[in-house]
Amino acid sequence: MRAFHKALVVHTGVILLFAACSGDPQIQRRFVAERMFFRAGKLYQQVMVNPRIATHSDYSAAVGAYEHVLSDYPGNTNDDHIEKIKKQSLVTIAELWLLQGEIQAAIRTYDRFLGLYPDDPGLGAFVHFANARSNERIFNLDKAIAEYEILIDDFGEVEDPLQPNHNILTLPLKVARLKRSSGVPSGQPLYNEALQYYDSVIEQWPGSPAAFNAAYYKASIFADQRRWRKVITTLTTLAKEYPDREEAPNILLSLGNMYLDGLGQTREATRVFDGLLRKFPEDEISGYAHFGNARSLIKSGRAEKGRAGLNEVISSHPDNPNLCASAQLAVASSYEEEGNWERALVEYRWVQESYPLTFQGFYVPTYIAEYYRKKGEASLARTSFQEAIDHYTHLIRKYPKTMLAGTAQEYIIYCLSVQEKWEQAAEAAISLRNVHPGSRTNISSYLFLGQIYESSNNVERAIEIYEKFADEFPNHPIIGQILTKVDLLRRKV
Amino acid sequence: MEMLTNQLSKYYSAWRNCFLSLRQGKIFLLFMAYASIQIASVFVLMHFAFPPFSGVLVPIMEKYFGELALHYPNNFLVLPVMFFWFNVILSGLLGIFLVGTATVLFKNSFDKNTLTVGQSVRSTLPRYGYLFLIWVVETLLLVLVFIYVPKLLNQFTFFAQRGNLTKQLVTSFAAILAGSFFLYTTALVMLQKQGPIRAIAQSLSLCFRYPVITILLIALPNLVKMPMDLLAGRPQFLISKFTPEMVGVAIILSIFVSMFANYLLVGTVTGYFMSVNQRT
Repeated sequence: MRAFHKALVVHTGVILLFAACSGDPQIQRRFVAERMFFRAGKLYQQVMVNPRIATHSDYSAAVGAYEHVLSDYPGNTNDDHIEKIKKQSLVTIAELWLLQGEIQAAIRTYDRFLGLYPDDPGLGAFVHFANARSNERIFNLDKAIAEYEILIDDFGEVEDPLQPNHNILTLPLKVARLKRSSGVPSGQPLYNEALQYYDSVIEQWPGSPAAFNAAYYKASIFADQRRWRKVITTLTTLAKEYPDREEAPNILLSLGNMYLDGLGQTREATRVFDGLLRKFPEDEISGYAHFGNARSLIKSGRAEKGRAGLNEVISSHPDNPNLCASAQLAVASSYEEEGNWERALVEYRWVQESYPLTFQGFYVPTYIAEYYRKKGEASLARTSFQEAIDHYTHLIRKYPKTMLAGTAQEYIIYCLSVQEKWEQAAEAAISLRNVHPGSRTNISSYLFLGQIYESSNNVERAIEIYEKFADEFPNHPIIGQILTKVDLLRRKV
Repeated sequence: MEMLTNQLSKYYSAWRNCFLSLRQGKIFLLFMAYASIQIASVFVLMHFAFPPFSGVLVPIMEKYFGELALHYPNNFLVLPVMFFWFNVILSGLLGIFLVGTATVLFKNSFDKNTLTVGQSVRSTLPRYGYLFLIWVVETLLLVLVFIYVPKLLNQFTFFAQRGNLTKQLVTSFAAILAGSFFLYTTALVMLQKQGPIRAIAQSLSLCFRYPVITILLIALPNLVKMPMDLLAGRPQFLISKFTPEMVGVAIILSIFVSMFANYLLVGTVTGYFMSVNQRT
């Protein structure tokens, strides 16, 4: 009996000791949250090993694990660590949606973040930026502009003029350009706010890197407005005031191109390009200066000498496919302008074969077929379109599920549509979504299909497609035009 | 040569007897009970943030490892070190008592006498103080080995250029060597009723008289458990390649291996000591 009493006393003592040592429940809560976040992170890492081959269930598992963290800690937990975990979870969920091409879902997640943490000093700027970019990708331009404007208002102040944040500094120009794309009436002074912003930066931090960038963006605005003289004045001032900046060769190159393409002043352009080559003979941009000089020669009527210069550029810059493709295309165009199509065709084919992944390489097969079609040479046009389709199909097989494959499929749709092969074109437009899944190809698919059905007089199908588009992308900038089109088509039916 | 052959024969007999004693489960049960306490402690350390352990463990961890150690998975990075120190304390409180009791039980098992665990515990209790003093000296020496040998090795270009594994292996062998000096102390205290100083002196004497067998006795069980100990001592690797909880699993596995290794160590040392003692 005494032993029993002893055991009872010891047992009660141990329980009381543990009860007294129950500790801080906040540490337990935080620990569990960290464990859940860590496990979600492991699933995220599994996806990130190769996001392209990760399966839908891999993505779902990772998103689910992060959502689990958020659902277990709703509302404000009054714990900085847990809140940090929740914020990071939301940002990662959005990233996972973006990787799957589910931009709408990513935007919803960013909006959730901004709803919970409207003024977050840590991730706020990033989330606004990512949200704006995502909205921009699905052409929800009003929302994108609103997000960028929040960024300019809240984070637009240049804090370090020696190391300015370029992502922020470029925003006023970006907003103006987006407003132009979203169909803001042309009479409205689109660029005024941006110009005011850049002027204030230049005034506040004269001679600084921030002022340099602001002036450069001002030149871009003048270029958008096709005010070539203003562009040249601004660039000339920049070249004089900042002769030692690493961007100086780029400034001179832009200046030369402006004389050549903007004002058509070949002599002035050559003077600037030569000056660039004298001052920066070893700079990697020198190839572009030689390219500019050769184009200037062709434009001033000395085509043979110009082509020799272009060939020199191609042979001396084999590691720059974009420059080489541009030079090769300029050679081909110069022959075409002289009326020597046979020789031009050889040069165009050379662009396609040598630089298939460049913009020029993509464009050339369709251009050749279009040339024959416009000339009324039906048989040659048919063969060329088929060759172009084969070329693009080959690229899609070689680079599956990439942006490149999506662009190639769009060219195929175009080639089929131009030939009025409506059924095949419609099939190609439908399969565009599978070639490169994502919102961009989703939109293209709808618009191509609508046009195909419309052109093939399948009006009811066209209306159906446009209505589906309107349901899925109600904020798209062309939605007004689409709805008007639907009305017109209805009347036609 | 003849002497070494004779010693090896005794060494072999000690192993055989040790394995035969497994038939009497009670000695092994003692080691299992000790291992279960160690495993329970690993679980407790893994759940340091949860009541009722958090009240005690959180302040300790914060004081000795910093606030960062309270976060997942950082707590698993410090888990092996925390368990090491817990194990040191446990061995000072309970481990030496277990070895003393097991030594008495092994002796009686080898002599074909029957002795209950209770009787052997009662015979160990009065000698606990001596065992504790010897443990303090041995532990201090081992701690010095674990602290200073890696530092010493770092001064040699050969070791400095190599990874941690080489240094860990050399340090482990140095610890085995240091442990061999005290190998017979428990047997001397428990079976010959020696005092601590005399036990250490005689253990050293036996160690120098039979160096090969002494090293074999201590090294073989330690070599068995070394791979698991090395794995458990690399939490960064386990966390990055697997999951943080794998650190706990590795420690528990090393406890299991140690349980067998310690059983064999105590059994073979007792058997060998008895055979040498009969001769002398």
